[in-house]
Amino acid sequence: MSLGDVGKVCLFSAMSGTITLDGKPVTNARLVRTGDRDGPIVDEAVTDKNGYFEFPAMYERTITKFLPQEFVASQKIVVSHNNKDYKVWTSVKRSPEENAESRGKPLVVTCELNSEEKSIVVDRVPIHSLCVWDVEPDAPENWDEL
Amino acid sequence: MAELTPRLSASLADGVYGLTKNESIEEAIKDLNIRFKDVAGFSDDAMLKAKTGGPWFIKCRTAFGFTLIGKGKFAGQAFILFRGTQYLADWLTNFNITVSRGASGQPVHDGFNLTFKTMEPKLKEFMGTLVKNKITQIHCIGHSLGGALATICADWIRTSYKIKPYLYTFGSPRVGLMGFADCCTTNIGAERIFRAYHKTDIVPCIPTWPFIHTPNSGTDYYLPSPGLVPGPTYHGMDKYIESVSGKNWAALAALDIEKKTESGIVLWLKSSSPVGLTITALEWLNQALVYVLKKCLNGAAWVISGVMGTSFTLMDQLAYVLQKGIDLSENVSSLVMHLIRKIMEILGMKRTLKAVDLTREFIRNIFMRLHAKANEYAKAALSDAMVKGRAI
Repeated sequence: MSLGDVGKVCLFSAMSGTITLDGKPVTNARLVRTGDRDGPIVDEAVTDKNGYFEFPAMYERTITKFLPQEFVASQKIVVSHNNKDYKVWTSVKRSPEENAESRGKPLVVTCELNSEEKSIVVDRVPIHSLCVWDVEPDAPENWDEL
Repeated sequence: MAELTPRLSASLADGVYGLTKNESIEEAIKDLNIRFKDVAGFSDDAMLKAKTGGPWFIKCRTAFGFTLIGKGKFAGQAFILFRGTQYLADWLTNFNITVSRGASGQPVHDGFNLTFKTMEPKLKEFMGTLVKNKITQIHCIGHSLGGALATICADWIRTSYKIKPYLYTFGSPRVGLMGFADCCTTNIGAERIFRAYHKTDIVPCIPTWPFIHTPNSGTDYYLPSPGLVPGPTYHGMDKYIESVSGKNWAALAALDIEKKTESGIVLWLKSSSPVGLTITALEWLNQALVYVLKKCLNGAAWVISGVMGTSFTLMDQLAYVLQKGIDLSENVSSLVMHLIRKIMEILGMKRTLKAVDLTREFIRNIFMRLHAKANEYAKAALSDAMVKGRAI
């Protein structure tokens, strides 16, 4: 960690991947990504001819990293293609570390716009998405257990 | 007993952070369904009123709350969840004592109380739906500032609705003065109050004495955590979930090997081994003060007179109670002497003390100095974090 990293928290990890529609890569789809811890931060990406896109990690500086306070940042990615909007990712990130969404691995996704939204839980955090990525979800909770 | 397990109550205290950060009730429902499907959901009213803002989501500048209805084996139960925001930091660094009266008329921290008051109308609305939803049991749950709000809420429910709720707090700051802690513990019942805190969590150390924790007697759940100086790391909800998972409340209670019994407190007061300004000594002193004050009151309730605007008036009233105790009996008088000696020692003052010295002014002066010292100590523990924070 360099001095420049002091107080930096990750709202959204770096993400790369492919957008498909009925299995075919979608060219020129517009992705709008929003991270919101204390007010929204928005950035955009566009898919290339292979349906490929990249987002850098979204960081924010805050003094609260050093205070006794929970980290809570909502996440959303909406893909626009042929005048239709697809919500491909919604979650609330609860750890300031990068790659919490994939248990430390780089976040590489494949998102099929014509698929059913799936909900998984990763380290107690629900993620609702049209994407698949390399992660082992939490086992379903049994609240009868201590 | 129908209390929730430590892991479930901790998970709900944690879950409310994410639930309240969702964009819409539909998103929150998805989160609830995947994590707490067999535990709780929104009431039908909530769904109907989602567009106009029903009692399911309580929001104000400094905090959020959520009300849920139990499902499956939790049918007939309601959950009121609270979470705080960054404003807790402001309050933690404000060391003035300002108190106002909670629902039961007892003195509570003014900042916490005002926040609760802004949430009260929505909570009233929710309480109005209990009969229709066949609710017979209520769980008030919160972490950090949310724990303080859950405590005030539980007191409010008991006072206003004559229902005894269950109360679960994790890393809660101290909510009120002795009168509140006493009254709240008696009215709700210590067996229904589950206050869990890590030894090195900074937040339960503040506001400093004379604020004390609820419950003031019975069982609290003191969880060992590494380190000697309290800081922010062990305040995290992830650490609390880690510490309580796999254990029931009885097993958690057994973790506290330094439990302070009445006879232990008397022994500590009378012992001549040296004490310094440490987290352990302050904890003992807290308990000893409450014990001796109770002896001085001799069963009477402590009624605060006048407006509690300043530390001075509060300390003066405490001094008055102790001074009265000196005349009460030989036994109580000796306890007061021991207590004052201990405080003087912790303050680094000379311990030579005669009964005639114990005037109201003298005791008040000692209390003012102790209050200042306890604040200094908490500030020092917080300062590392604050300095790092301000450097950005």
